[in-house]
Amino acid sequence: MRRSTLVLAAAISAAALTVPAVAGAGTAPGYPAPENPAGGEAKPKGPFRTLRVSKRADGAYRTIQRAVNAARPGDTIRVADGTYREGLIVRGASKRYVKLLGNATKPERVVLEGQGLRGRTAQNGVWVNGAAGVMVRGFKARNFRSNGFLVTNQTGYTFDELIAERDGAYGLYAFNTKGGTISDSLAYFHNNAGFYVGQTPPQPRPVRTIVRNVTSWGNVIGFSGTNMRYVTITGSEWFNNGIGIVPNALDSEKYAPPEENVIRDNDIYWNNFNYYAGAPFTLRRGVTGKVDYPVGTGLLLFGGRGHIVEGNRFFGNYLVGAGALQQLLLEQKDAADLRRNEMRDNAFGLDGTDANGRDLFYDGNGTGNCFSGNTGVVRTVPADGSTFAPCPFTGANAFNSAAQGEAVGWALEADREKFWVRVTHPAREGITPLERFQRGRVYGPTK
Amino acid sequence: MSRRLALLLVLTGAAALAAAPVGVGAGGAQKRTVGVFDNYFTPTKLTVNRGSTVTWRWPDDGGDTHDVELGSAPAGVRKWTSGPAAAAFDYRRKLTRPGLYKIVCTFHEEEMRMQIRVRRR
Repeated sequence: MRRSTLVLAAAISAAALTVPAVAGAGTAPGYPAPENPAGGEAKPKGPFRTLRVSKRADGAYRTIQRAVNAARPGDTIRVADGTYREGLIVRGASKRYVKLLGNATKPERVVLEGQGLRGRTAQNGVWVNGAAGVMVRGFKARNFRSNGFLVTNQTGYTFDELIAERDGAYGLYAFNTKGGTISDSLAYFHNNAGFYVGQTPPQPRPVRTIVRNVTSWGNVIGFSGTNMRYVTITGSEWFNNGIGIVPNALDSEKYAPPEENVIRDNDIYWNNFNYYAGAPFTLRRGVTGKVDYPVGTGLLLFGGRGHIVEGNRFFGNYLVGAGALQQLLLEQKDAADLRRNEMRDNAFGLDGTDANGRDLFYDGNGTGNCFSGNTGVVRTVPADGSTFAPCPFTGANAFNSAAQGEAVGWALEADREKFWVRVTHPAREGITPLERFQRGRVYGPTK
Repeated sequence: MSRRLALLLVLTGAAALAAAPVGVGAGGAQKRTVGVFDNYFTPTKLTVNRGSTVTWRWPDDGGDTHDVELGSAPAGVRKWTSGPAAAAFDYRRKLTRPGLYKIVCTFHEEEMRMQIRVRRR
C-alpha cells in the first residue's frame, strides 16, 4: 500500500470511528419519500392588513407571535424597537407572503432574545416553514439554542437586514428550499455556520438563491452549503472564521452533491479562527466529534459539480486560500468526484501584502475542472501545479495522490495550527485578526 | 452505607436508566426516552405498550439541528412533528394506537430514522 493510500485509509477509518453507527437506518419502505417544497405558493389577492406589535400599550399586539397567528396571507407585521423574549414560528400556507418587518436601518434595535426561554421557543429566533414568499427584515436574533433565522420546505423567501449572534448551530439557515434571497445580513459566533443553505432539491428549471452583501465572522464555518445548488454568493465578506466557505457533499442530507453554485466577488480572508483553543461559545458535538474542516482555509470545494469561483479576493488564510478536494468519505460514490468546477480570475495575497499559507490546492480528482486567470498565486499544492488545467477543460484531470494525502493530513492533524504559514496582516478598520479568542476584543462588526 | 450496597444501587440505577421503563406493571403504559444526537436516534428500535409516552431528548450539548417527525403510523394516527431543535429540548408523544410507527429527522432523512412498535396490552 502506498503512503497516500495509507493516509486516505486512516482518514476514512478515523471518520468511521467517530461517526456513530446507526442500526437499522437503511431504506426501509414506509419512511417519507424525498419531498420537494410544495403548496402554499399562490399569491394572495388581499385586501391586506398591517398588524402592529409594540412593547408599549399602544401596540395592537404585545407579542410578535400573536400577530403572526392573527396574520392572513400577504399581511404585514410591523414590530417596534424593543427586546422580545420569544422564538417565532411562521408556518403553513395561511402565512404565505407575510412580511415580518422590524427596523431595517437598525436591526440591532429589534431583538429576539433566546436566553431564558424554554422549550420549543428557545430553539429558533424565527422559523418559517412551508409559507411561500415570506419576508423577514430588520431583526436581531441571539442566544437561541438552534438557529437565529431558519426557513424550511418552501419556495421563495427573503431574509434581509438580519443579525444573528451566538445561536447554537447556525445564524441564517435555509433548508430544502427553492429560490430565496439572503441579503445585507450579519452572523457571528456560531457553533457551526454563520450562513447555511442545505439540501436544495434538483429542479428542471432552477430558481436561484441569492446570498448578497452579507458578513460572516467568528463562526466555525462562515458559509456551509451541504448539497446546495443554484446558489449565488456575491459581494460578501467572510473572515475570522475557522473556514470561510464550504460547498460540500454529505450523505446525511438528500440530493448530494452540491451543484451549479456561483461564488463571485467576495472578500475571503483571515479565516484562521482556532476555536479549539478557545471560543465565545461552547463547542458542541458534531463539530468536534468528526473529521473537521481544516482551520485556516478560505474556501474549499469538498466534492461538487459545476461551481464557478471567480473574481474573489483570497488573502491571509494561513493554511490555504482556495482548494478543491474529492469528497473521500461520501458513501454515494457517484457524487464524490469533482466535476466541471472552474476557479478563475481570483486575486490571491492582496497584491503581495497578505499572503495565504498556500494560495491554491487541488488534488486533481474528477473531470472537467479548471483554473484560469488567477493572480498573485505564489504557492500551490501540488507545488508543480500539475493538477491545475487551464480553462476551458474537458476530460479527466490529473489526479495527484500526494496532494490529496497532504490535504487529508491537514484535516486529521490534532494541532490545528501545525501547517499554518503565518503572516502579519495589514490593518483593516474595525477588525482584529481572530486566531485565539480573547474576551473583550473586537474581531468584527456587531451591527 | 457499605461500598457493596452503594455499588449495587449504582448498578441498579444504571440498569433502570438504560431500560428506561418507569414503574409499570406488565402490559401497562410505559415511559421511554429516545436520545437525539448527530445524526442518529438511540435506540433506533423500541417496543412499548399501548398508551405509553415516548420522550425524545436533545442533550444540553447537542450540536446540529434535528427534528422528530412521524413518517408512517397505524391508520387513524395524525402526523406530528417536534419542530427543529438543537439542544436542551424534550418532545413527548403518547402512542395510543397499536402498530408500527416510523420516525425520521427530516434534516437528516438519509441516515436518521427509527421505529416504534406499539403492542396491544
